[in-house]
Amino acid sequence: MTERAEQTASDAEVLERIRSGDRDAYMILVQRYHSRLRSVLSFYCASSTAVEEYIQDAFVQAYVKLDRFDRQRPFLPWLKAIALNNLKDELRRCKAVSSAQEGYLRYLQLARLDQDPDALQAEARLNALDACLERLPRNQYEILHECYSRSRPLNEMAQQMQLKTSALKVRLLRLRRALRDCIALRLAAGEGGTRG
Amino acid sequence: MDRFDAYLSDYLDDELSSEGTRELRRLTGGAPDRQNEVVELAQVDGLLRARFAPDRLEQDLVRRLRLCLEGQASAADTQAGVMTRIRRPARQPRARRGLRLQRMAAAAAVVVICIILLTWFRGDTRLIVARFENAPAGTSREYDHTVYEAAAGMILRSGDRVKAPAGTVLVLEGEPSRCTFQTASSAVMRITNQGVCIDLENGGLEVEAAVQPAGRCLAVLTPEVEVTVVGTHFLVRASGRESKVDVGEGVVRVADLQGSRSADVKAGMSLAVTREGDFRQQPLILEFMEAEAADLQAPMQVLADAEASGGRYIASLTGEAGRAAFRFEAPLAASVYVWARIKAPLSEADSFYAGLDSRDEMIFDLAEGRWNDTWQWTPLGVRTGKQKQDPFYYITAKRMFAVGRGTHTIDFRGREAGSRLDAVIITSNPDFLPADTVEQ
Repeated sequence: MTERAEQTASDAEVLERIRSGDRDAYMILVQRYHSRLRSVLSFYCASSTAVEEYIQDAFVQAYVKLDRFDRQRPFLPWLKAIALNNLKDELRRCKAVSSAQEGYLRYLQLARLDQDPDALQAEARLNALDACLERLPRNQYEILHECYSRSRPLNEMAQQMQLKTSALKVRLLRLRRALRDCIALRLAAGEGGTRG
Repeated sequence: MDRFDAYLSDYLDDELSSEGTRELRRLTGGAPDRQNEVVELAQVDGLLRARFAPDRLEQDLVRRLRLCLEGQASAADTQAGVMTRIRRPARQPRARRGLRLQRMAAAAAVVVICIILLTWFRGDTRLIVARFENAPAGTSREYDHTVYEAAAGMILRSGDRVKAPAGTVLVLEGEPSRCTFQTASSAVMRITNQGVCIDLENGGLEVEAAVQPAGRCLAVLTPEVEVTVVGTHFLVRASGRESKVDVGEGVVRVADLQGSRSADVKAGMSLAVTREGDFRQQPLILEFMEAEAADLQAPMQVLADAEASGGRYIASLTGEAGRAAFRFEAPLAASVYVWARIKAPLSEADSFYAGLDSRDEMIFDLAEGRWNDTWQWTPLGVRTGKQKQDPFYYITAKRMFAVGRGTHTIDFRGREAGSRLDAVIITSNPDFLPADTVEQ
């Protein structure tokens, strides 16, 4: 199958290929959905390392249970449900002990799942974030891009921008706050919504 | 920037110290607005991480999943029962928040033992998932500096530090292997590209792995040695400056990490390796016991003989009566063999019944065809037939006892009056020979 054909194949077609023994076809689904899954999980989980593990776990568990999956149904909601179940398991375990531990702040973030068990907020806010980023001045967008996409150390970035590291940190904090407010405004104006 | 903003900024930038964490928590405690602020900005941070996720994350994920689903070893590399070396697993990438690095550095200061399981996808969908099968009170897992109480069924995650009392059992699903902590232990779980890895910081871990099918293998790493096995039952203990590998079944290859020394450790043997690189191999079980020190039941009695070890031996002067029980400990399931120092001057006084744990009694001929008035070491054997050239004589073969972990007894029950027993050696080494063994 050509790359283009792989991109356009429906989930059901890909799943049928996997069922007939083409296990590499599973990677089509991985490439198709890992980004969406990362968005949802990152919204509730503060550790990027843990997020990558949750993503891997979800894909592995989904693969193991493929026989039980109705191939006529969309794959992503099922995959997301598996990932969220794992996250909820973690939340249940955290509840008993986290209030007394250093992980309390991360627990607070994870605990938001209780108010949003289907993680709809994450999807809506990601859409709103995209719109907010489009309106961001280029120099500010570049700061986020350098920081998040290239994982550049802040002191190195600050040096290049001829800033003190503390000044760069202030800018980053302001940017995050501005994005939070922008997202809230867009959602309030009904410009969010989930992606299909 | 005020203090709250400064700590919040550090938190979002993964630069918050433990002290800062406590301070930020203090500043947010009882202040819902501030808690909201932390959570909302952390959520934005998460969305930005996802939005700007570098391409390498996708590549890493695909690579990990391919390895996870398909396995990496080829069937040609690993055949059942044949040892194969595999590469040391790559270290975990530096955690974004820098915590795991500290943990790994601490772990590196103590003995580290890694167990790597490779899976080979063979058309089914069985995969390895590590979880607690049994979690006694006091079992906990720590992740990102947060301690969680462990429970049976809980799945373990990469980076988890497990505090396990004796009896805690981890199972690897899709792979019939069990890991049992024998003493209070501390271990860090790691998921490598190759599979599951357990860094044993201290304590003892018993691993029971089924004979591995082609393409699947099991390996153990320590800072001193690399151990490679294929389907075996072994016990790893880490304490101070020494690692010890006890092998109950199969064969284990141990090599130092410099590749300058290696040793095959066979079933029934134990290898101790020190930080200085000393290899000491000895039987897993090797117990010498004077017969008179056994638990005796009359009319089995202690008698004197200057040529006997310690000047004393035991015998029953009444046929079909009396008993001697020799107790020993097996650190893990193994096969054991028994040597007896006996004297059988006549064919009418040359046998006991022998069994394990009061079961499976069989006649033990002490010196078939070798009757004389001297003490001699003979392996505890079992009759397998009669000699063709002289059907009066029995053919005997060395008897093997399969024992589980724990306390056992080898029992000698009186059969022919006057059969004499001076001492017993119980060993797991099938090739063991007492120093003064008479060639047979």
